[in-house]
Amino acid sequence: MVERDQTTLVLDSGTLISLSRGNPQTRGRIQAAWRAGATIVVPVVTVAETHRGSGPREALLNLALARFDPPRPLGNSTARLAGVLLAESGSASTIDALVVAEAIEMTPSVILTSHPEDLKLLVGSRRDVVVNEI
Amino acid sequence: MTLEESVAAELRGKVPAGDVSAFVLAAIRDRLRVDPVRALLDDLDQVLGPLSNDDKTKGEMWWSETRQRLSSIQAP
Repeated sequence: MVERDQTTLVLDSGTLISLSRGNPQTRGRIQAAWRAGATIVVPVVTVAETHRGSGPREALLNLALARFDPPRPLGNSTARLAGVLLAESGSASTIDALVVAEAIEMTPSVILTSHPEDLKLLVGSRRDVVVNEI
Repeated sequence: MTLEESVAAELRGKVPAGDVSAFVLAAIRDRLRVDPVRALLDDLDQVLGPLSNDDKTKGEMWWSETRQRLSSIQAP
């Protein structure tokens, strides 16, 4: 039996936007992770950061968001962990901290993002989260 | 629901007896959460056309390299 990949792939807003614009590299990466058996996660804050209505320009983005509906709920432990990450890193981005906190709670995990340096700052020296640029 | 004996044995070795139902429920929930990704990839194939073999291969190489990187930094 082929062992299922236990890794979680976390998508941030830049990745979802890239996917909805049909970027083949982003599609290929997500497809490869999914085929390997990884769990693909869209944090609920990513929905808030990307959803801007239901116009025709947002059609593919809304299609993607609909497939991840309902997103993984945001719990108190994740919120508290995000607060700790903000304190440790000096970052002011609560949304990024919530994305990283979610990844830390589902390790081993990979974050696919449009702004890797900001997220690497929040990950710090943790050894079970990898940040990758789309 | 039936389990292969080898899977059941692995489950017994990893999960305390009283926690098996909760473990299985969580696993099913996780799997159901993954399935919409298949639907999304199919949606994108229909709207944008299928990915080229080159893009698929590059995606697989990226995932393989990323997994190796994750393994190497996890190693003590």
